[in-house]
Amino acid sequence: MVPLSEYAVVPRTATLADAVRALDASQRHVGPDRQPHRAVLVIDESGRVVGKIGQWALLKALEPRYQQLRNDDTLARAGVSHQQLTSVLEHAKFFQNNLNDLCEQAASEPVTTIMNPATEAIDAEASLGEAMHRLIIAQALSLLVTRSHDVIGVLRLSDLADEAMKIIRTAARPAPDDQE
Amino acid sequence: METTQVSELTIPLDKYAVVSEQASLLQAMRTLRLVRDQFRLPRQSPRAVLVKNDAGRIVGQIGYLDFLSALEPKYTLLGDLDMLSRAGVSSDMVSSMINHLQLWEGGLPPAARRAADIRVREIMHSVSEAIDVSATLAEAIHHLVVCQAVRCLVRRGEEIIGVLRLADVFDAVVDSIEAQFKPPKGE
Repeated sequence: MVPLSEYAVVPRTATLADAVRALDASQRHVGPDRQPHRAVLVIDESGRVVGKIGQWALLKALEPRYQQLRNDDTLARAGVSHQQLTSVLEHAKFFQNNLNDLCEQAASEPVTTIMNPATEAIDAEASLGEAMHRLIIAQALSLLVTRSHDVIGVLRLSDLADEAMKIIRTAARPAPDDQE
Repeated sequence: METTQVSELTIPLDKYAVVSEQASLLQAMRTLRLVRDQFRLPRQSPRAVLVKNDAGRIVGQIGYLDFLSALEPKYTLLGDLDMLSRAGVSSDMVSSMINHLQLWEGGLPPAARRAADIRVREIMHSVSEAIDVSATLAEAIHHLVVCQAVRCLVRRGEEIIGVLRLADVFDAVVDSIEAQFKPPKGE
């Protein structure tokens, strides 16, 4: 788990540019042997984590036309398949403007319009199996870690997978033809 | 960044983890580790394994979530996990699945022992689409966002030549936004 103190955190009043700066600052604390984090958490006035800006959310924020599709989970529940949606979007005219201009425009966007609600969470005392289960079912890259309903950190798929692979390498029976 | 092409951010196949269709999950994991150890910085190292057929053509890929879900055979009872996640499952329902299906019973070690018996061809995602190496960064962003993908394969003509990762595209965009707020040299 990455403790909240090492993560990039911004208030609800921040802009995307503020979030990028916070991310940049937080990455300086990540050691060379660890994957840098690529998400920013958003807190309310009482310090409670209310949202997260992940990689897809930031990239989506660059193109205002994605606003119309912000709620594509609702489309999925309404019966629009991923394939149908992909087909429609692939043929739509996105990113017609200069990418640098889009970045500049998006920089002043409030984080509250970009973030996803902080919903995927796991208790700090949960087992590794439960953590894997939650990530697999949510098909998520990270989970918020809570203790007594307070967010205390972030569990990343990459860290969990690294840990699982370590256990697997130790537990797996040796086989003479294991090497490729 | 406006003129950045996919080719500039692509990790070529010879720097990526690639195994044959006949390889086991354990072999794939070991290959991934070997390749990752060759990278100086963890941020650049691969987090997936590509699968090639007998003709050397890339036919599939296995990401972290595929690795983990393959270790618990009962996930096949739940059908298409991607569809399930998009449909939305409540937190209580996720918890009850563990108890009702007795998932991850005994923890990871028993599941880990299965890794040598699972063939990568049984769990890989087949290659369905790839982005052209000469595509622009904007096209790549659109592709990654629309497909909600953490990576996409890169092709030249019909041949897969590398991998473009969401993380590298994200870093390029963050650098670009950050650069706009840095004072010019001399200030």
